[in-house]
Amino acid sequence: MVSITSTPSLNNALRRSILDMQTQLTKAQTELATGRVADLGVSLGRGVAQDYELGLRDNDLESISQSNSVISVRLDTTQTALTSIADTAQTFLETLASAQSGAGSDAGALATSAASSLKSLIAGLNTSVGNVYLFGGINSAVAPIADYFADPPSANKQSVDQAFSSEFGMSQSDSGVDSITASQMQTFLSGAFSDLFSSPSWGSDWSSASDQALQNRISLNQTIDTSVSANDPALQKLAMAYTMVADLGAAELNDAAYQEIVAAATEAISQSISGLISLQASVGVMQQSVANANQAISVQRNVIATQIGSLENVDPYEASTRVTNLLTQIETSYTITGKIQQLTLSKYI
Amino acid sequence: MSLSSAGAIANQSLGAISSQIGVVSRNISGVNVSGYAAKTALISTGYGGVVQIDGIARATNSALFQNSLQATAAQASSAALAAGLDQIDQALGLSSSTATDTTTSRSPAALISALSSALQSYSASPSDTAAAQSVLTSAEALVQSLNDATTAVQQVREQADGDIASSVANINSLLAQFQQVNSDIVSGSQTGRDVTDSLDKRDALLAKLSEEIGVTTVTRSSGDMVIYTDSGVTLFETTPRAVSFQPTNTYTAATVGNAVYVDGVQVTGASSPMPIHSGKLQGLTELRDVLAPQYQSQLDETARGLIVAFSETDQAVASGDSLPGLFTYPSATTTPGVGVIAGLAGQITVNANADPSRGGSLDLLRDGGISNPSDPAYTYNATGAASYSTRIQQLIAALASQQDFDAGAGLDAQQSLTSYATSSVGWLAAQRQEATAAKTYQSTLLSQTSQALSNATGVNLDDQLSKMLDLENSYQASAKLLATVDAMYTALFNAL
Repeated sequence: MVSITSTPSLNNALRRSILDMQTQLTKAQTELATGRVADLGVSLGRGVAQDYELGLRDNDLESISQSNSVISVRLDTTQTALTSIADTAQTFLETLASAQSGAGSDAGALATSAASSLKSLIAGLNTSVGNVYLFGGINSAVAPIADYFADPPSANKQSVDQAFSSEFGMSQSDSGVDSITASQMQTFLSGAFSDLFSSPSWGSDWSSASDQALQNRISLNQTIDTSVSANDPALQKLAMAYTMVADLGAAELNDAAYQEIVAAATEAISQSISGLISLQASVGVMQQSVANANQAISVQRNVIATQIGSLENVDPYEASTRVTNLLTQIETSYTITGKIQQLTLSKYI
Repeated sequence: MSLSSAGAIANQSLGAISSQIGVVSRNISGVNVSGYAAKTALISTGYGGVVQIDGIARATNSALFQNSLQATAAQASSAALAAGLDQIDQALGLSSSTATDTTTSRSPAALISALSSALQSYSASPSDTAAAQSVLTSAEALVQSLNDATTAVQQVREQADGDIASSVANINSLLAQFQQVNSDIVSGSQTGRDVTDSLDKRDALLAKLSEEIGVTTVTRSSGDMVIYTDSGVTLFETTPRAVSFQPTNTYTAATVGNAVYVDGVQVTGASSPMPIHSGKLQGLTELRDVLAPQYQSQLDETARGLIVAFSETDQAVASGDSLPGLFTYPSATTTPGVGVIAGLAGQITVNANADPSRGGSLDLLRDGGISNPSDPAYTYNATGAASYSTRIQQLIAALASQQDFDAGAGLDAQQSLTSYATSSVGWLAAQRQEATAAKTYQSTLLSQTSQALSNATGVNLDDQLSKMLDLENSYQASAKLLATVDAMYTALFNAL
């Protein structure tokens, strides 16, 4: 028996091959248009898990770099505030130095200068970015430092007034303040007055800041502190120095007591300035950590993008060659199908 | 040999040629009918030189036919499996998205990542209500995707069950038709009638039957055919055996579908003594009873892992009790331990205590205490500070830290929740890749086998036309012979 091809099998073969090629063409066109494989699951199989892991890590890194930009803004603002506080302190220190040497010092002017420096300190410590008080620690919803010059008087002002009157039996504006001796003033300053500026009085009268700093995750495996607290000893000493010059009736005191105040204030501000420098340094370290993390993140993201590309991407030249070949094949099939249809004996009978 | 016998032979041959032309015209009409086998008239020379038709032969190739039955059954099985897996894949938007573009993907893995990103933004601004709201929204989207995935998987199972029921009904009706055709063939063979059309019909019924369930056949000497399933259970022997199936109308994760019984023997399912290997029934039952439930277990374990990651522990006591936090499920009394809870992915919800629209408070996301707002032991933020980020960082870390999972769901038992979710995506994609490859391979095999069978038994139009030309010439020759004999007689009569 001679082996023959039946007519239906000839027709079906051509039909099926055309349908096959059309399906492949659709797939190749999608790949060419998007640059990626057409059906991720069928192409990669189990490798989809690795592909997704890479993609999820990339999402993680992206969200971290976005939150890092928020943190950078806060740290930069913190650093700016600290710089201006330090500059004010330095200026006031110089003013105190000239007052100490006694060369034409005006106690009233000094007190006014101290008061304005205290105002700027409080304003600086109450800096906020987007409803977050930067120096409040985790208690960032309330302004950390109470306004000393508020009306009605706030707790810090009242405590100072009370300490003064219980120590000397009179208020700061009383005319009898010039009878206060230097040693009395010194006792007051190193005793009851300095107690007002350390805990627990600092926490109850002056500051509602938390000692716990803000903590943030700045890279996949790194979490750091991202704020400094208003409760730092350097800031306490600074507040004490300004208050003692501004609000202990310095304008009316006798010269010895006045010099006592100036000396104590100078001592406090010097200590505070060195503390401020280390505060600024620690904020600088935080800023650097965030910058380093951001750099590492962008490197990591580039690597991940390459890895995902190797899994998902399709070579555009290969895809376009495939499309062209398939189009040619389909055209050839159409021509052959047409010709074969014409080849029937019934035409020649 | 006399003139009259020559005339009689020519007469006979006219009749034989007419029958042959009849066979040719049957072949031509059946050219495009699938399953039609080419017929030939069996001609032999009888006593006295007379040509006679002994019957109609049918082109057969039983080896190729068995092959085509097997290929049909295998292709039907992989097609059913691949279709079900494709449906689940589309419902989750897995293959139409890419790894970095998680906006179109509705898989739990992508939405867990979105939740982690929302938590990361929240951790940078714990006092920001908008950030808290976006965490809540991401949590709700994640819960929705788990619920939707459960619905999709159970729907696939339900559909498979319905398809099994209609397949069984189809098998029963095919077997009834088979019985009629088979008895026709047996009685026709005994009386010597032409049964080739019934043979064609019987082969066509077998081809349709093998789509539903894999079959093997044995032909007995009387032309009678016995059908067995490919595992050896009798489907038809003189009379059809009953194929029965009890459908289940609604499917939940805990529902176990019923098996198909042939002649009282269970042929599908793990406890079957003689399970079928191919046919649509096999593909559908594997989808309904093995693959879909396995994926459902993985979804349930993902949901449980989520509940465990977000659970809150009693802060007052070392290693205190653990209660479900942001993610919980109805009637939960404690955080669930290791072990698949069937249908958990469909029941998981966002705790109302964290949702302002249901009387809860967004701040609990930051402070803890979602599990029990009135019990201070479960509150993490003891001071109520606005930028407390420790709890949020814990939640972010919990998504990436190792957990224990039930190994029965088919994935590694010790990994983080995020990698469990991605492994699950990978598992489904692997199954789908395998099923699609099998389907493509079986389709190609089927078309090649059908082509070979068609070449061996089908009709070639040109062949039949040229045969017809031959027969036309023979007919003319015989008719001419008759005319010549008649002319010779006339000449003789005229001479007398």
